[in-house]
Amino acid sequence: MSSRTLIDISRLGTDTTWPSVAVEVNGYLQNWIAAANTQVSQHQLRIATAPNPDATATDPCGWRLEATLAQLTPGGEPAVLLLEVFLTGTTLQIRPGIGNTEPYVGADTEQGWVYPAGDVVYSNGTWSTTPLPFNAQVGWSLAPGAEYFVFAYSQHRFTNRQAVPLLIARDQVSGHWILAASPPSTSSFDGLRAVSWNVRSGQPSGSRYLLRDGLLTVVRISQPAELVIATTDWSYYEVANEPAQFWEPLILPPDFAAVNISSAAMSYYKAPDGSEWLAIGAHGLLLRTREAGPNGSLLP
Amino acid sequence: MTYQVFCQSFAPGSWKWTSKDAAGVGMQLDAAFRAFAAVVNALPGNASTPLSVVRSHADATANRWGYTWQLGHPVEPAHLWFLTESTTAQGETQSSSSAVFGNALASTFTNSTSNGGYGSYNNSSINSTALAYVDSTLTGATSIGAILLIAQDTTPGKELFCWALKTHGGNDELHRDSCHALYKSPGTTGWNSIAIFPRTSKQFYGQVVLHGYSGNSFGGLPSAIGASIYANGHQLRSGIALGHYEFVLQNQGLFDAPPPLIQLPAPLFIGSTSTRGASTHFGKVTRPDGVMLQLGQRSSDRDVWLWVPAGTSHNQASPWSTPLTLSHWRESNELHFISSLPPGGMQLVSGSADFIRHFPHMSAVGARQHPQQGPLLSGSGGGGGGCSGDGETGGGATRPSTGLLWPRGI
Repeated sequence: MSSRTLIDISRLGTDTTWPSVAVEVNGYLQNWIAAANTQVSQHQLRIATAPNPDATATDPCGWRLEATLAQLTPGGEPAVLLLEVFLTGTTLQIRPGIGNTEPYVGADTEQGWVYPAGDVVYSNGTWSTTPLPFNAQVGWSLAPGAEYFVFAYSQHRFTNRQAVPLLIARDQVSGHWILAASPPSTSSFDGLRAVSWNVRSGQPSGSRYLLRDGLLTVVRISQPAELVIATTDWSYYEVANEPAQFWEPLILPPDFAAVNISSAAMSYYKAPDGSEWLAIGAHGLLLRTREAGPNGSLLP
Repeated sequence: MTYQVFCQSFAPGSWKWTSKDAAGVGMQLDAAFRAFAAVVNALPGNASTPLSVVRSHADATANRWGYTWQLGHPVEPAHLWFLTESTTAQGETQSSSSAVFGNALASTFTNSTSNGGYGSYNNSSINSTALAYVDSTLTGATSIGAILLIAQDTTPGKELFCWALKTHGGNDELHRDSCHALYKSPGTTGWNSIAIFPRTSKQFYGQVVLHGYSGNSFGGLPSAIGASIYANGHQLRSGIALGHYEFVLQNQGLFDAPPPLIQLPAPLFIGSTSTRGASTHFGKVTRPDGVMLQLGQRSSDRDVWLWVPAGTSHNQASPWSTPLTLSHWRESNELHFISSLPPGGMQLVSGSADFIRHFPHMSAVGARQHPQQGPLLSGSGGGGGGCSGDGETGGGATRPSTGLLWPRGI
């Protein structure tokens, strides 16, 4: 499969259901994961639950993804990053987590499901199932060290119907996978749900925002795209006495950037350096479609 | 050693900020700055940006104390000053402080003994007021001691002079620990300045005072600090972009050459902490590869810490010494230090749709330039003009062949 690809799967929506879209995306995802697992052999990605093509309007339909890291938990087991993205009725729920077994055995209960940080818990977004046109893209890269798979979705122009249901990317600092999704929500607290593993602090790391500056009136495209690490505020616990911790940042591959504009899915920017960017989701994530320079390579 | 961290201790009651005693805080700071300036001025890279002292505590004639430094620049030098104007605690409420950071072009300076000896300007800016400051003559403070801590780097391109006055002893509420740094940031010509005053119960405003001098004006720097710092997580960050250099942002127009970003000096970590732990302002975190020292105070609004890598030393003569051996530090916990990467690239595009750089998706013109929508539009008979080519995806888009009606062809 080609190294970098961006596919438009936009539909009118009248005769398209979520299960059919999810199944289509899953086909691309399976191919990409097979290639990514060959290329990044120390970290194995797995689709634990795939979208059910026969899901009814009320059945959960989506993914549970797992990434088994070479990193061991303090218990001596491989750390397993978890991400659940399920549409049930009109609710799209995103749950990032950590498991300490492979395969993860907490299957049907929340027992054993550990969130990556105190406030990086699940997120619900409302997903309209009425027939509206939607724009959607599937993109991936197998560029060594900068691998990613992304599925972005925008239901016409509703600001609260812009989502990135799947974002799997190599952390540019640690090389570990980041499993993430951005719910269809305008709340900045729902910018993102992400889980990864921080080498320097030796523990899971999670995030719910991109690091970005919303204070300018101009569009500011910043690289690298960095995730704000969520950390636990121990000051609420009288006897916590946690040691001070040092963290490396979580950085998305260079095909991503952060922009200070929200709810701009499908907007397109041609930056002065020649790079071109497509906005995805509602919280400032940009996907690069052309590299900088007069002859920058164009995706796909 | 180009990166050095050193300090000097002053006995309780004797360290008076409001003094021109050669061994006092003010003149010791002045001497340290002059020594730093002499070293960095000799660097080839600073031939057009020399530093000098315009005023110091020695010039005070009244109740005004502080310094005015001249920042060299190939276009025109400028002055930057920090002055306090009272011997009482200041800035405890919004209205009670006269301590300020200010700046002006050097050409607007009247070199006189007016204004307490600091001269006057016919066009100056006060960038921040109501900064809390404390002096050993303050009631209740006569028994507290002080430490003048200086971190400096004379590495070309990384020049940094950062000083902090840390007081110790007495009531916790007496302390106003803060820092001011003058430095070079990658990609910039002139000097940049950041002062961090933590907000505490006795500091009405928590303030980060930023200046970036570009030759004809001091930038009002749009700050990413707020966005960069996670509010309640006890996070302190390095590698923050503070704002743009040489630049007044316009609401429209093209930004073909984005100006460089001013970055937080590499050794500094700023963020939010809250009042707990072994010490509110003498925190230390010991790591195998170095030590983190607290320059500010525990504050929900901009505490500041300094990274001192293992092996950092100094070659300053007595009474300067290393701060690592001071007994005041208390090992701290429950903090998160995040080593961020300064933004490597920043591109600016007009904020409103201009259809040259910025294509909102809900417009026909925007859609025509769009990498995915454009080819669909131009492929129809009546669309007119065709696509410029810039936006085409090269035929890679594989949209479903059925059920696809939007965006419509014209």
